[in-house]
Amino acid sequence: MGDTELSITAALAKLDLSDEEQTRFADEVKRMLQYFDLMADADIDSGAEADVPVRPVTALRDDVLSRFCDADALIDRGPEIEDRYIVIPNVL
Amino acid sequence: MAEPGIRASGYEIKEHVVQADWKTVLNTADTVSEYGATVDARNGELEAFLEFRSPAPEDPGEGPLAGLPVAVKDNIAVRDFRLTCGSKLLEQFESPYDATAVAQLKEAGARIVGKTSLDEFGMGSATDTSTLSATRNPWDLSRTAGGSSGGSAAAVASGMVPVALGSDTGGSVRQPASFCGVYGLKPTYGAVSRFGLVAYASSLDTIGVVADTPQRLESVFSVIAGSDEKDQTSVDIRSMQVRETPGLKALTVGVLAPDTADDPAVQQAVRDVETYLQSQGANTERVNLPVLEYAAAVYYTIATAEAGANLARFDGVRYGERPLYAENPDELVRLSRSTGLGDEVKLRILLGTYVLRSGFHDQYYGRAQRLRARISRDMQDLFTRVDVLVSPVFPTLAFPLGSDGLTPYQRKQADRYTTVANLAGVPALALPTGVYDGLPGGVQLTGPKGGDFGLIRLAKVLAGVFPPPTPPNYPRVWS
Repeated sequence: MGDTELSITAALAKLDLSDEEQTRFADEVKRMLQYFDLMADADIDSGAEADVPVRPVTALRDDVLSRFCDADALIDRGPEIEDRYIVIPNVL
Repeated sequence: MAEPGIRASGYEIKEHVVQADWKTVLNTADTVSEYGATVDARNGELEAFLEFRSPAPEDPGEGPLAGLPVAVKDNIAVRDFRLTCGSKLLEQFESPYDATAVAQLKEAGARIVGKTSLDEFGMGSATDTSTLSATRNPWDLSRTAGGSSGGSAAAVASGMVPVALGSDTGGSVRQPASFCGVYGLKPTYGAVSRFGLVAYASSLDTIGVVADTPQRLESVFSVIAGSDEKDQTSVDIRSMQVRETPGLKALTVGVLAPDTADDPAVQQAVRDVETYLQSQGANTERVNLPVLEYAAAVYYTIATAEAGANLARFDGVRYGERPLYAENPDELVRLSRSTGLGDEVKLRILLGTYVLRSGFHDQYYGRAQRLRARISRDMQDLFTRVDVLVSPVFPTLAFPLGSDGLTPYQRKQADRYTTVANLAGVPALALPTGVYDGLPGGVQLTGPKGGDFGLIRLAKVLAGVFPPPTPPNYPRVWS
């Protein structure tokens, strides 16, 4: 992955990279992508019919409204709260 | 070489603890005080706990686990404890609710005494990507306790708690359990509710158990296993059609053919278990798993892709650390993530974003998903021929911390033995077999989906021959 691709990827991931990070991550990402290339030679057809993870039955619960066990406690954990609203920094 | 003397000594101590009535232990101010002082002293050198609170002596609890002190990995929610995930981003965040597994433990009478250290968001193999602490191994303080549940494993191995919860996405319960000489179970995917576990890679994540004995592992797993309406991927494995694991004489065991590049002690541990099982009349056969060649590559492709999506929620608005000022909402998110997340987490988010990008999806993520299906099928086929697979947990014993240890890239490649079980959704259990040149070693048992209790039963049998070891300074605080 070149510098341009890394910059595009970082922007999509909403990460700002310093010049030093850009250099370091470029090497590490490149090494991992080369490692992922191990998959290129593997047979990808013979297992296509297998079920992947888990469950024997579908588990959809009834579509009914239920209140979270302690909504107030959840809201209180926000960084800054005002009348049950989460206050965010001034961004304009 | 194994050291039988150490193993025998440890076994005597742990048998005593197993039989203890926990309602009558830690039930006075004096014993609780002694316990707290012991943990404080030990934790000072190990950094296993991020947060510890001595249990209340007047409240031993009721139920099958009454009085049992339990530690919980700090990516699992415990009401009114912090939930840092080992990240600066969440350093001050406190959980408003209990994970289902934690609520079940409390209901059964267990006492949650603290939160344990981990690699940031569970991403690592040595508990050193945590931005809050780096746990050390109770057997050798210069070495890692493993990761990402290194705090849980070190807390159990050092005798600070008899049991702890961890999470296992690619080996994060089993590898540290093996490095520290204790038992670690990664259950069948969905066997334990993930509600309250901070998601890393949702299709791979499991809550597991680290314990000092297989008996205790069984008693705790029995309490937390079951379906949960708050986790739609959860399943009651007791209702699954699983072939009963037979006794040793009728047992068919697949033994992974050794890799001569692995540490000799790792190879020796597998041979020791194979030899014992053969001596008891079990039918053993050497097996090869070609999928091991690329299992870690498949795992890191899928896990990072899911991590990129799961960690998008950490945007500085609802959780944790954020800048005081930003020019616009997008900058708020970017600054929060860029200053709050550590290097390993950023690397995995970058990788995961890249493998999902248009133009690269088929080459990486799409291919990885198809290979995951093949791995799943290969494991299903294997368990039509054998009852259990014996393999290494990790290619090395606990490696040194710092530059003398494995590089981050080497650690990822080394996850090949553990990631297969996560990709296939099957249960796997790490158990100790002895002490090799001063460090614990062991093997991994892997079984078919829903075969968790069968693995535990076999671990109990093997504990009679390979007793769990204890490191120097193992305390007798409960005696």
